[in-house]
Amino acid sequence: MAKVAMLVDTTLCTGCRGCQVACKQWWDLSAEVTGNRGSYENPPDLSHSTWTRVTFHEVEDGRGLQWYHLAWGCVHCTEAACVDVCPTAALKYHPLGFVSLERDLCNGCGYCLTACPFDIPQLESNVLTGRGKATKCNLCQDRVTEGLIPACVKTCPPGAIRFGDRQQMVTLGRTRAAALQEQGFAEASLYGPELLGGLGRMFVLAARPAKYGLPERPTYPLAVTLWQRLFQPLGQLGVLATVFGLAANWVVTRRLRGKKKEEV
Amino acid sequence: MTNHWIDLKNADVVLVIGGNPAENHPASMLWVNRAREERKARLVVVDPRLTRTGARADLYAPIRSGTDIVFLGGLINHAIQRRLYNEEYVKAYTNALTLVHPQYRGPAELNGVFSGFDPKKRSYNPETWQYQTRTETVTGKPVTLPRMAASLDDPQCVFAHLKRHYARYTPEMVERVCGTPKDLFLKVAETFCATGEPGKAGTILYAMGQTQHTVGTQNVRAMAILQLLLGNVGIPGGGVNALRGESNVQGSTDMALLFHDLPGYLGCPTEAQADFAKFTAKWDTTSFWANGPKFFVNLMKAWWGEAATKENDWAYHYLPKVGGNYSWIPLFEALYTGKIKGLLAMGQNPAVCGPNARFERKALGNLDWLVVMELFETETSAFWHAPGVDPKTIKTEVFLLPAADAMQKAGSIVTSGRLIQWRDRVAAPPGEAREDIWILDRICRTLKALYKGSTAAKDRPILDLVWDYGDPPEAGRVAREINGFALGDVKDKDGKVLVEPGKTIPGLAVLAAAADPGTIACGNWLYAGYFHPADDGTGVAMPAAKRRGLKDPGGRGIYPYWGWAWPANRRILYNRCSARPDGRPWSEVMRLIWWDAAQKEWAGYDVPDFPPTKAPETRADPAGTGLAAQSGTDAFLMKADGKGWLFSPKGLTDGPLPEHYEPLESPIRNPLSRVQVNPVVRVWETDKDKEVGDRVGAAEQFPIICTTYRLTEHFQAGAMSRTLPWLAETQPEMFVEISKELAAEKRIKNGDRVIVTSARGRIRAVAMVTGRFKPFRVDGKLVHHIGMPWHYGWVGLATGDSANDLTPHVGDANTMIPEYKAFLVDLRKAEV
Amino acid sequence: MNGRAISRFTAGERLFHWVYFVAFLTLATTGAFLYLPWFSFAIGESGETSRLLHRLFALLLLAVPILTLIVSPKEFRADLREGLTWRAEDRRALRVLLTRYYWTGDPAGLPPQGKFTAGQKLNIGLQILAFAVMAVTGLLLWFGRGLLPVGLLRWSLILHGGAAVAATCFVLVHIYMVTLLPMTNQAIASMFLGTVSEEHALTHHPKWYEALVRRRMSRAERRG
Repeated sequence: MAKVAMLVDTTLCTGCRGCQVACKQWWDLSAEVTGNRGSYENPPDLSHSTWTRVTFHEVEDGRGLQWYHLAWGCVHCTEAACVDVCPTAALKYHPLGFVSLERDLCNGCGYCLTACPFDIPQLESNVLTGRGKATKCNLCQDRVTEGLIPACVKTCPPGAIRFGDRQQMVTLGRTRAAALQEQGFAEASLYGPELLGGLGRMFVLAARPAKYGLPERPTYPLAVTLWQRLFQPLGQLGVLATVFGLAANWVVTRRLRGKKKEEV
Repeated sequence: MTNHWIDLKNADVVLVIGGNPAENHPASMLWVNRAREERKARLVVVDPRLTRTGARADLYAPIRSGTDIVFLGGLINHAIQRRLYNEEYVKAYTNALTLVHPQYRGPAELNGVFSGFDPKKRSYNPETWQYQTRTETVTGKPVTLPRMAASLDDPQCVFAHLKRHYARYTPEMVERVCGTPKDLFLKVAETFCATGEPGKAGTILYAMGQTQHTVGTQNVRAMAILQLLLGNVGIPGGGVNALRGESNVQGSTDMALLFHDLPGYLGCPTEAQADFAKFTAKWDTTSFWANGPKFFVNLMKAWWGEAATKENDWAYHYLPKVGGNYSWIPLFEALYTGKIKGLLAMGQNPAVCGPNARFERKALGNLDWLVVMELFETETSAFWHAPGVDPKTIKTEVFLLPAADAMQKAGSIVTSGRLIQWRDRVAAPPGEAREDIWILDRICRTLKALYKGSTAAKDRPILDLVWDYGDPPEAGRVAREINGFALGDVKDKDGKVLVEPGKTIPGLAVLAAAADPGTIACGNWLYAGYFHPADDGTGVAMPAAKRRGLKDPGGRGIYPYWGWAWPANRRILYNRCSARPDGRPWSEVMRLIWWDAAQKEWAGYDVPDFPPTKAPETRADPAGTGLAAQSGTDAFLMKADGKGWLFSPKGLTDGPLPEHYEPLESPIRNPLSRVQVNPVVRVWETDKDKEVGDRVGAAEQFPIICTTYRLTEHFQAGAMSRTLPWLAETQPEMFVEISKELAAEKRIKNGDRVIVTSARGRIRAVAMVTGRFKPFRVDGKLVHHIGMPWHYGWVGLATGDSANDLTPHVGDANTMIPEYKAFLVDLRKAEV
Repeated sequence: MNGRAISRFTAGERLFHWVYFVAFLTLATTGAFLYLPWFSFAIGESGETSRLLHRLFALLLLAVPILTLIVSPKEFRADLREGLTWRAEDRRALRVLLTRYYWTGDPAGLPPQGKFTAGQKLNIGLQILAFAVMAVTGLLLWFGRGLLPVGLLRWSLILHGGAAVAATCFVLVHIYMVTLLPMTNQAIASMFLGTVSEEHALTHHPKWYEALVRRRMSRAERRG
C-alpha cells in the first residue's frame, strides 16, 4: 500500500481553527471549559478531548512582527517511540503510513506519553486508579481506510492542509519551500520528511521551526531506545538466566547428594 | 461583489482594506491562496492591527481606524501623479472626459465642503455637481447630452477635478492622518497601482471596516474610483468586492429587507412620489433602467395579482410612501421615545449588536410587546432579566418563538458573489421549532382573517395580497413567484408569444421585451430565471439555482452551470470592460469575453454584461431609449451615460468625490480641512446629559481609539456560536486587544482584567497584550489604538460584556450604517 | 536428629513476610503484563484492572514496612539491623555459599552464621534496594505525569522496570532455595511455624543459636 501523508502549509493557514473543530465534530469529542488567557489559543493544550489544535505564535523577527499559526496534532512518525513502547499494540504502524490507535486495546499505561518526543498522546485518566485511555490524532483512520480524507483536511477553508500520497506530499512541500525561499523567506523549509524516519504530518514553514514552537531536531528518545533495545531484552534474559541457573543448581545438587548417599 | 469568490484566484494583487477575510470569510482565502500559489499574486493588507489576514500578507500596512479615504485618496493620487492608470480604459469606460458644471467647487477651495452646502440644513444642493450639457435636435427630437472634453487635460473635465481633489492626498498626508509610515504606504501604492497596466488585475476586498463609518459610502466610492482608474472593474481578478458576512445577507438586500427599497433595488416610493408617473420618472431613460417601470409592474402583479391593473396604476396606491429615515438608529430612537409599540426580531439580537447597546436595551423596555424568533434564547429575548435589571420594572411582554436553522428549511442562499444556491431541508426542526416561512405564513393568514369583510379602502392591500404558497407553505412556490411566471400570453412588441401562461420566466430579457408588463408576475427582476429549468452542463435540466454542474469553460472559475448568479447568470459585472473598447481582450491570458466579428456577437466564458450582438463600433442613438441610447463602448449600462463614475453627479448626499472627515469621535483635528466630521451626518442627542443617552466623548477624557470586529470562532451577536460548546471553548470570553506600549503605560499584564469606558458605557474584558496593535503617530501626536470583538453578551456558554455598550449612535451620511469602527475610549486595569 | 523446635520468627515477622510475598507476586505479575508485550491480559479493560491491582498492591507493599514498624518495632528494627550488617565472616561465608555449599552441600570452610546467613542477607539487602527504587519511581510515575519533565519519567520507567526485574530474580532464587534446594529447604517451615529444628539452627545459624542458648541460660541463672 502506498503511504499517505498530510502536508500543512503554514504560509496558507489562516488560523481559523476549522481543523480543530472539525476534529471534535467527527470524533464527537467534548468541549473543554476554558478561559481567555490573553491569547487566541484555546484549549490551552492537547488533551483527551482535543486531538488537533491550532497554536498561535507572535514572533518579532527580521521581517517585523510575524503571527504564525500551526495546525498541530500527531505527526505520525515512521519510527514512532509510542508504538514501540505500547504494551498492548493499541498503537500500531498502519500500512498506510500513519500511527493508528485502537482505543479498545489501550489500557491507559501511559508509556506512549512519556515516549513521544512531541508530547502528543494524552491520557484521559483517573489519577488514583490509573484507569483511562490514551488519545491522539489517528489521521481519521476510519475515514482514510475507507478512501476518504481526514476531517480536518476536508474542512480546511483556505486549503492549507493537504493529504495524499506521501511522496507527492514531500515533493509538493519541497516545491513550496523552494518557492518561498525564492520569495525571500530565507528560513523557509519543509519540516519532517526525514525526521524520525519521516513524518506523516509535515509542515511547510516560512521560518525556523522554533518560531512555530516546534523542536528543531526532535529525536527518538535515548531512554526509549535503551529501554526497548537493551533493558527489556536484558531483563528478560536475566529472568531466563536465573531460571536456568536454578535448574542447573538443582541438577548439580541432586547429583552430588545422590553420590553422597551412595557413599554413605 | 462586482466579481465573485472563485474569481479571486485570477488576481495579481489582492488588496484587503477594511476587511479581514481570513477571520470572517475563511473560505475566501482558498482562492486568495490559489492566486498566491499559482500566479505569485501578492496579498496586501491594510488594517489597524495585524489580523489573521495580515499574518499571511506579503505586505501589511497599519492604518488608523476611520482614515481610509486618505489612504485610498493617496493611492488615487499616486496612480494619477505617476500616470499608472489605464488611460485607454479610463477614457473609454469612465466619465473622466465628461465636463462638470462650471460652478462646481471642491473642498480644497471651499475649506472642506463641496459647492452647494447649506450649513443651516446641513445638506447639499447637488446642482453644481451635474455634468455640463448641450441640447441637440436628433431626428426632430430635442435631446440633452453631457458635454465631453477632448483630452484629460481639460480643467473642467472629471479627470482634472479628480486630479486636483486628490493632489492634497500626498504620501506625507497619508502618514500624518493615517499614521501609516510613508515608505510603507509607498510600497503599497507601488504594488497595487502596478495593476493599472493593461492585462494586470488587482482586486479590492472590503467589508464593514469600510462601511461602518460616518463616511462609509464615500469609502466605498473611493475604492471604486481607484479601481476604475486602474482598469480593474469588469475584469477577471479585479473588482470592488464587498465581502458580506451572513450567508444570505446579499439575498436579504436583493429582496429589500431594508426600509427604503423594493426587491431588485427598485426603491420604495417616497412621499414626494405621490403618483405612479412621478415614481417611474426617477428612472433614467438612457440606460437599462428604462425598463424600471416594467420591472415595477411585474412586482406589483406578483404582490397584488388581479387587483393591480393598468387602470389603477398597478395598485401603486397600495404601497406605503416613505416619509423619513427608518433605518436602525432612528428606529431605536423611536423605540426609546415610545413611538413604536411592538417589535418582531427575526434572527436579530439588538441587545448585543446595536450601537450604544445600553441605550437600545433600555429602548426595548418601552415596548408593549416583543416577539423574538430564534434558535436559542438571546440577550434580546432575555433583556428583561438581564444582570442588574429588575424584571418588575419591565412592562414589555416578550415572546420567544423557536425557529428552525438553515439546515432545517429549504430555500435559496445568495452569496456575496450574487450566486444563488438552492438548499434542501436535511433535518426536521426540533420540538415546536418552525421554519420562518411557516411563522410568517401564519402571521399573514391571521392578518387576512382579521381584516376579512372590511370595506375600508386602506385595508385593500392586505385583503388583495396574493398569498398562495400552500399549507404548510413551500419555499419552492415562493421561489417560483420571485423568478416570475406568465399570467397570460407574454408577447413581444411584434405579438410573438415569448412565454405561455403559467410557465416560469426564462430570464430578465423576457421582462424587458414583454410588450405588456401586466402579463408577468415577477417578485424580483434581478432573479428572473433563477428558478427556471436550465441545463446543468450534462444535459439534465433543473431549476437553475439547484444546478451543481462542474464544467468551467476557459478555466476562469466561472462555473456557469453551478447554481445561478444574478443578473442573467452573469458572474462578473461590467464584464464588457474585460475587452478593450475595440472588443479584443486586454490580455490573452486573462480573456473573459470578446467580440467575435465573424459571428457578430460577444463570445467568451461569462454571460456578457452587454447586449449580446451589439458591436463595439455601434454608435449611440441620442434619441433612442434604453440601451439604444448607448454606444458599443458604453460598458456601464445601468448608468444614464453608460460610464463608470469617477465623479458622482447624483445619488450621494455628501459629495461627488470622497473627502476625508474624521470619525465623530477622534483624537485629532482634521488635518485636511476645517470641517471635522462629515457635515451632513445626523448626530442624535437624546438624553445626552443622562447616564444612558446619545453621548459623545471628547479626546481629553477618552484619548484611546477603539474599533470593534468579529472573530472566526463566533457569529454576529453570538446566538449561533456562543451557545455551541465547541466554539465557546475556542473563544470563551470577552477580550480587548491592546499594544504592549499601552499595557506598559497602564501597568497591565497579558490576561489581566481591564475596564474600558466610553461616553456611553463601560465594560470589563480580559486584556490581550499583543504586538499586533501598535500606537500610531498621527498629526505629530502619539495615539493608542485598541480593538475588541463585539460578539459577547451575558447569555450562552461564552459570555462577556458587549462591546456595543461603548459604540456611538451615529451613522453614515448615506446609508445610516452605524459607526462601529472608530470611537474613543479610556482603559484601566480592573481592581479585581 | 534433634526435633526440638527453636523459635525463630515472631508472628509479626511472619505476617510481614507473607503479606510482602503476596503483594510482591501480584505486583510482579501485573507489572509483567506491561513489561512483556506478549501478555494479552494487559489489553484494554483487563489491562486497566491489572494496573489498578498494581496500584492497590503497591500501596499494600508500601504499607507493610510501616505497619510492621508500628506492630512490632523492636523485632523489625533488630532484623533490619542484623540483615543489613555485613561482617568480614559474612563476606567470607557468601563466597563459600555461592561457590560450594549451595552446589555441593559441603559446609567446609563456612564461618558460623548468625540469624541470617550471608545468602539471606544478600537477599534482604537487594530487596530493600529494589523496594526503595521501585517505591520512589513508582510514585513518580503514578503522580508525576504532567508535573515532572518527561525525561525524568522516561528514566523512572527504566529504573522501575530494572529494579522489578532484579527483585523478581532474587525472589525466584529465594523461593527455589526454600523449597527445592535440599540444603536450605527446611527454612520454609520457619516462615509457617515460626520455629526451626535445633539441627537446622545449629547447621545454618550456629552463632544465632549459641547466642540464643547463652541468653536463655543466663536468664535461667538469674532466675535460679
